[in-house]
Amino acid sequence: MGAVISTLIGVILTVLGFFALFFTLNRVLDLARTQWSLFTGALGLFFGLLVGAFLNGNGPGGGLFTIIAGGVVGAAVGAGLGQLRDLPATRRAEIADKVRPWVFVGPALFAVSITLIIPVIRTAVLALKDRGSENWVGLDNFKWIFTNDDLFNVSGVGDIFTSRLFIVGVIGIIVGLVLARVRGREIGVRADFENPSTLGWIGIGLTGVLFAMFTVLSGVIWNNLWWVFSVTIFATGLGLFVAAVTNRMERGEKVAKAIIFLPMAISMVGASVIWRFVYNFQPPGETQIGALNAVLDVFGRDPIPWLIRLPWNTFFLIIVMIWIQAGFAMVILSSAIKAVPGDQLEAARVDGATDRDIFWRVTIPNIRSTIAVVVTTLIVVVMKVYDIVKVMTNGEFDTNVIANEMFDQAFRFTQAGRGAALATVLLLFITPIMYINIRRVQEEAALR
Amino acid sequence: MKRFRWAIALFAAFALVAAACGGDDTSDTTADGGGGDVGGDIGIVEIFGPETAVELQAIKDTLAPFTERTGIKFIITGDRSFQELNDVRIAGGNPPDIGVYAQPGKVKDLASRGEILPFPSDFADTLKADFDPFWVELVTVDGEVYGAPGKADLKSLVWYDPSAWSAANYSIPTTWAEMLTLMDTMKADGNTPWCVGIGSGGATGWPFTDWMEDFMLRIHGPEVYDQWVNHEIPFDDPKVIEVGNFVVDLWAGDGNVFGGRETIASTDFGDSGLPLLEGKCMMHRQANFYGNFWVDPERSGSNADAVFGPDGDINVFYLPTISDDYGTVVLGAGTHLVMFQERPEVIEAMKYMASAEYAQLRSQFQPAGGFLSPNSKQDLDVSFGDDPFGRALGSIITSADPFRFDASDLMPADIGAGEFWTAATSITAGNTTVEEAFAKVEEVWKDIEG
Repeated sequence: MGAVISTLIGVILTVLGFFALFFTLNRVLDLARTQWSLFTGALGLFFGLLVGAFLNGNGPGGGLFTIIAGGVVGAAVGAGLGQLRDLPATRRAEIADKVRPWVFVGPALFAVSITLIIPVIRTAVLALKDRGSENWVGLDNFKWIFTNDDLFNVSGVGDIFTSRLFIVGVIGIIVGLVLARVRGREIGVRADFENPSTLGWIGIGLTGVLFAMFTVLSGVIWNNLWWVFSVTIFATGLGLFVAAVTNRMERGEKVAKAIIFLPMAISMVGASVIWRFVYNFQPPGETQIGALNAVLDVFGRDPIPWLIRLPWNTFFLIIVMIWIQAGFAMVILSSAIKAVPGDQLEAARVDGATDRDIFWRVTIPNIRSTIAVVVTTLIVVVMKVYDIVKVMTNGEFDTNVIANEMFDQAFRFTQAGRGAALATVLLLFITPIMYINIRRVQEEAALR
Repeated sequence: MKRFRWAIALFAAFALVAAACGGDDTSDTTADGGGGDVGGDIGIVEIFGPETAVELQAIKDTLAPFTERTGIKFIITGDRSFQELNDVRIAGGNPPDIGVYAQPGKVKDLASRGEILPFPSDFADTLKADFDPFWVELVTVDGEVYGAPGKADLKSLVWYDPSAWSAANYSIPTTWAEMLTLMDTMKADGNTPWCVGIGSGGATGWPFTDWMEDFMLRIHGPEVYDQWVNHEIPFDDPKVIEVGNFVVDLWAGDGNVFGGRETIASTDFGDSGLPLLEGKCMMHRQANFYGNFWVDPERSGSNADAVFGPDGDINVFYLPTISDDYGTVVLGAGTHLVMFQERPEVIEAMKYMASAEYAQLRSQFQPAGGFLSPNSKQDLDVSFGDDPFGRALGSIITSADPFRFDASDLMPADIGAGEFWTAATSITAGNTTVEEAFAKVEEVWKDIEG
């Protein structure tokens, strides 16, 4: 109890201290106009105290004395400099105005740097060290990631040509291309890639080819990419579909949307436990308590051990995430669809456009930026998927993902270097997506 | 000038707060050396381990008389992810006073890194006298003892239903040849010999490693077992592969296991034995702690008041040996208590927790063989009273010859709690062969040895 109270008091004092610092610096800035050398003296005191505290922690020590001595020396030096070099009043005011914003963002910057920026840098540094973080090993940890069969295995790539999915995918792409050429000729261009059915065929074809690729390639990194690709495509697609359909419902729109959105309210671990029951497998001949195998049982088919059959067990885990995230995509896209200007829809209708044309050529272009937001958010969320895999298979049966492997390496196998390297790889995967997202938001802001 | 004074006052206040915080930090560090994170109170010992629920309560109950006698109080926390969590606490400079480790390899690792402290020589001598030297050697580094044996798990056990066996006229096999004959008889009668499941959440795969260890001891003996554990023979050595294939053939053999391989791979070990109660299989090879599962109302429903023992509802027999050359080999596992702080009350507590008195008392709080101590000084009459079942288990573990500790707990965590489990799951699911999987384990093991 005593420990709790003293910790609590410590936290309160620290917070108060921050407020004190914040107000003080703000006041000190006012001094710049009238009491120049006092201002420089105060600045000197501030940096002197910091240097003193640093020396106390990292150098000779000495406790309070070192800190106070640092402050006194800093104040003296600052005041002296201020006396030596006086500035005109306008220049002083300018300096004060330039420094003031930093005072205001200071606390936030400090909090973010100790909770985020410094840990990121430290992780990147640890990734270059060995398992005990003692010796430098260069890029060995990264080399290990991309040469380890459990993590990154391309040996199965030859099997892709015999995969039925691959063949279906290629046919889809060919049909799409032919269709593009035919439609293009009709409207007098070389190829029409803006037609929904052309895009549909090519999209389905590409999905087939990529799925074929993910089923033949094994390893944690390929699994992760399969997750990102599948959840992004299916959750966005499903969300868009439901949003478009419910938008036209005369009754029950709210109920339908609430039901689709419901899984969002369930924690990842809760959802995983639910789906473990859905996929539950009992020996043939026993009562099937898993929903899917119970259905198979009704049709007289043998039960399937969904979570251990390669390679599709990974996809059965992915479905859980799609189930959760489709609701998120639906809500965002639905509000975007409702915001499409009515005059555009009306104008299209007057011109004789069909519902399908209106959807693909008016609605979709209008919500394009919202789709991009949904897609990028999903990519970032799915990239770091951990809970579902941890709860449902713990990454066994070749279903592992980067985040779970990172945890195992860093905390179960005490391979700090490898864990940090995996974290860094995850960060590097996400960074370009974040960058593109920020750039796009900035461009949009510029257009307005 | 008034505003300025106000600013100075605030600044001075902040400086004081900063200094006070700095002061706090230093006092914390000194407290760590002496008083741990309990605020320096003398007489409080913090224990952190993997025990939860029933086991945690039993520890608390067993420590209560000690607290009454000596005034030493305890803060006891348990978490299934104890090892990962404690690694973080160690790295943060805030370890508990006493930690409970199930992996002797981990204890040696902590000892060589100087994170845990060696025992005073009088305590080390007591341990050597009270326990089979084997238990103490597991946690001895450079002649210093770093761990006190806590509990023992007995693994070479086969559970069966005595009434079903006597109805079918089966008798307990004492050799492997008898076991094979019995399995054939069972299949001829339309019964399924075994129930197996390897699921275990974050540790899925370990039951396979237990089977392999038991049969490694039975096929090649303790010497090869030790070479395998210490990586003196490669993991893909023909002997290791032979044992792996022995287990797989046993499991995959037609009608040998209830539900077949895919059921083994997708069934949680805690649920895997329960079909035995419905007569869907005849035997379940699992450690003594499975006793808790048979009578867990949430798992086995109406069986919650089952009676253990030869005349009861559920009983065990010793998994027969294959060759007479290696003696009565017993596979087991267990925990060791380690010391992060050397204070008089911590050592007193450690001594109590390694004593025969503690072993006897705790066995009474966890009946039906729920807690076994390897302490050979304990009086089995006191520990198990009129519980013949617990006494039978207790005497197996205190008279084992030779006893061997769970191999996967002795191997480095990357192997014993990582690659070996992964190999076990892929082999069981039929996604890879024993040869391929073990070659991969060997590759990883070589890699971490650098």
